[in-house]
Amino acid sequence: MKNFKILLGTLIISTLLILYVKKNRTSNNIKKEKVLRNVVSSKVKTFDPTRSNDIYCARQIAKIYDTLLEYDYLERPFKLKPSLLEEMPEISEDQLTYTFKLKKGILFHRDECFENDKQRELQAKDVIYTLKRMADVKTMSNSYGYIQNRIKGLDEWRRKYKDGNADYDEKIEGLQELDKYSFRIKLKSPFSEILNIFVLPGYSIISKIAYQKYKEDLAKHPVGTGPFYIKEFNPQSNEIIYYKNPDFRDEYFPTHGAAEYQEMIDKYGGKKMPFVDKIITKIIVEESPKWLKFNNNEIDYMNITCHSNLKNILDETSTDLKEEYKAKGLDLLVAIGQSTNFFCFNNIHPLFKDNINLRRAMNLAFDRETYKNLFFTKIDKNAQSIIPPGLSGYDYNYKNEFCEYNLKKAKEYIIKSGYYNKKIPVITLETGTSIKDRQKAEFLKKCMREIGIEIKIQTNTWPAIANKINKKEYMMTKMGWYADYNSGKPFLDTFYGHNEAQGLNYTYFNNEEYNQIFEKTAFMRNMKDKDRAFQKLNRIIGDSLPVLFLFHTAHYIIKKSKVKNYLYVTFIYGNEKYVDVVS
Amino acid sequence: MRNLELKIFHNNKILVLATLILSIFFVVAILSYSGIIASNWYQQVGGSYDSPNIKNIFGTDIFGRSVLAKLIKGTETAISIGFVVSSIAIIIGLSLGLISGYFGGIIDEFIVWLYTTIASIPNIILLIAFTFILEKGIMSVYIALAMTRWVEICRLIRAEVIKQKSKDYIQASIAIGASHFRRIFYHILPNVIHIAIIQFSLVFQVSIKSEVILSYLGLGEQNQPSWGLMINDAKVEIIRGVWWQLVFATIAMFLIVLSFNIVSDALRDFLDPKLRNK
Repeated sequence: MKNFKILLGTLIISTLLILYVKKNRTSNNIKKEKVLRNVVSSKVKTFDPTRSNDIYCARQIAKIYDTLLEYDYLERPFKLKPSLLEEMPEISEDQLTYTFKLKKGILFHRDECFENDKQRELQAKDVIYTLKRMADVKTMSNSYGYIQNRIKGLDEWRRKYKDGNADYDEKIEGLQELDKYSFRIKLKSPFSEILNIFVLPGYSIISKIAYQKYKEDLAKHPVGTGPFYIKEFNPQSNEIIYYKNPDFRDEYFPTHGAAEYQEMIDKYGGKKMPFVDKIITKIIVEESPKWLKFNNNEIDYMNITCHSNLKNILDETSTDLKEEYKAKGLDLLVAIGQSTNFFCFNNIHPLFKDNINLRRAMNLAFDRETYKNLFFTKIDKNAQSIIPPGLSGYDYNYKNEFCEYNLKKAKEYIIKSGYYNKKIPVITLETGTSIKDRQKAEFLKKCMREIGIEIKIQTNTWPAIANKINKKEYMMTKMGWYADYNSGKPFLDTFYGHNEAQGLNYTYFNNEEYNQIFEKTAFMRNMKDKDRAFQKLNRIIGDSLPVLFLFHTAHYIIKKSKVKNYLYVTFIYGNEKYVDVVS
Repeated sequence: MRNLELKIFHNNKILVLATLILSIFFVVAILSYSGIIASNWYQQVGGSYDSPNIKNIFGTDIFGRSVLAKLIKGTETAISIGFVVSSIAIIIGLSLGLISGYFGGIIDEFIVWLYTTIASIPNIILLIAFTFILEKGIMSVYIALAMTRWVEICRLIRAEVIKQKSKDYIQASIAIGASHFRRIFYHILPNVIHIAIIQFSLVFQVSIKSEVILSYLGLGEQNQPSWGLMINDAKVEIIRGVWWQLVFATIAMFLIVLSFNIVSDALRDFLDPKLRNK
């Protein structure tokens, strides 16, 4: 009995000791691991870059995949630099031929689709495959719109296989593989924007081998070359965990940049990236739980889109935090809007098609000042047309007379629209499921009631709205467009009537004059001429009112001061690799 | 019978109060429906988020609309949901329960299979599925709720009909040559109708709760005030100290559900012969 007690005592003591040692080891490991915790405000539909079509997916994809080029993180004005490329592409005299050279030894993430490391190496054939897949009708990529009618032979190849079963081995004149690491793109006409396009996450390079193994499952099983990878992606999950890619190429924090970032350069310049071991991205649609998690230290930084929260934390200038929040060790980043918000009309719907007076009336009846006071801040700018300030094509002198609140004039235009003494059909507005989306929709409903228009609010998830847009089965919806790259052109692309890419021309606007000028801009070499043409196009959109213009909104990001090097620019993706978390 | 009814009210002050509260809700809903009150609920009557004051005793919402007017309009939505859903559910549940219990055989097997299948799916999932198929809005809430709420009624009616069917008075009616129709509607129905009346009041309040949940989840009414939407709005308002929409909508819902429970209990005590004899 005595022996049994001794044995039992020894057992208990040794178990406790083992548990203690194990716990200590685990906690030491956690301490060593640098974890960045952020949030995305929408369900992530896909990790397939070629098929992604929203900003939420784009920001997630950019952590896993790489593009050929990227914007220099710290240089201002913005400057392109090679990412997967060895150097900037060689451009022929006539600006029709671009020769690209990939960096050697870039490896795709470790994955069972590769038999050996040799197969994992990024090659020119992967780039050619990515571009062909984008053009393949079956892929239904809306990124294709940016290169439509640009690359020799690509559109013909697309049309040839419009019924599916495209032959990816067929040679295309404009896409030539020169050797294992080099390839050439031949254009139909000069198109300087092409380099800007190669920074878009939709143009991330996928592995031909990975796609051939996973096919459509690539959406859930991404295999990229980027700084992070994921083990699995469950579209129903509310969290995505990214791990540092152990094979990420030698990439170092910039050693030069704008003076305002000198402190970052001094501290981090030349250090190998990425700095964090893990990123935990929570998927939270509603603002309140996001805010609670931020206060509970479960999120390190987040974009604040809720007017209630903004009004709580901003000082009178709307550009800085109130003292009490600064005292908590929080920082605020304000990125002046390179985006435009609007309610869009389906311009091929019988109610809006060829009825500019109705669209004018609706623009005039919208009380933007009250809307701004309720949902936005002082520094947001009223939109006069589609291109936001600071980008080529923005016209500081252009004032849209229909973007002024004027009920009397709005009622006159209702009469002109042919609906005098005639009931206007009920307009269904497709909007998001969040409270702010519904409240904004209710505001539109309230304004339109003043001119006798009844709005029916229909809430949907974003994928459901995108689906209705693609099928042209909507009347009105609320949208925002971010600058995809440092130019006004991405905004203009979306109104080009001959755009074949699914969902890119979401308003189905089709104006012959616009289309002709837009097509001509591709041949323009002189930047001034191009800017003037962009201004003209911007004016056509402003005058035609294919949308109900709202604001060029600022972006507010609140972050814990332990998060270092985080910058927010609408067209810089994948900035997590520059970010460090200090204890 | 009349004396018994009065006795129940005299002995139960809570029941009197609950009945009074329900009557007020019904009157408010009828007045709102006929446009006598709260017809201009969408109009701005004050500043954005004015706290309760003399002019707007329940305060205002983000657009300066009266919370009281929204609450009244929400009452209309709640009562209409309760009434329409209970009526449809009673018609379906009572009809299928009578047919199934009376005829038995393959008809009974089919109806039992049908309601067992529907009952085996979690209610909220079924409701969400219905609203997705039928597009969001008040009509789909009517249909979705009615399609899920008849099951319990049908089950209870069927069991009671099976019991009644074997009783002497039915055997006697068969002996004198009464038709199926007469046996079901003249003899059995009056003896099972109390179940339908009790279930009506229960389904009424469950439907109101379900509508609030669906609207809160963004699947219900989107174009007219609803208590669920008001509670949903409060998610972003509470952080700014705007409590009035949440509090008043919750109180309204609490009162109606509690009152219905009290009245349902009293109805059961009154109508169920087993309980009445105790």
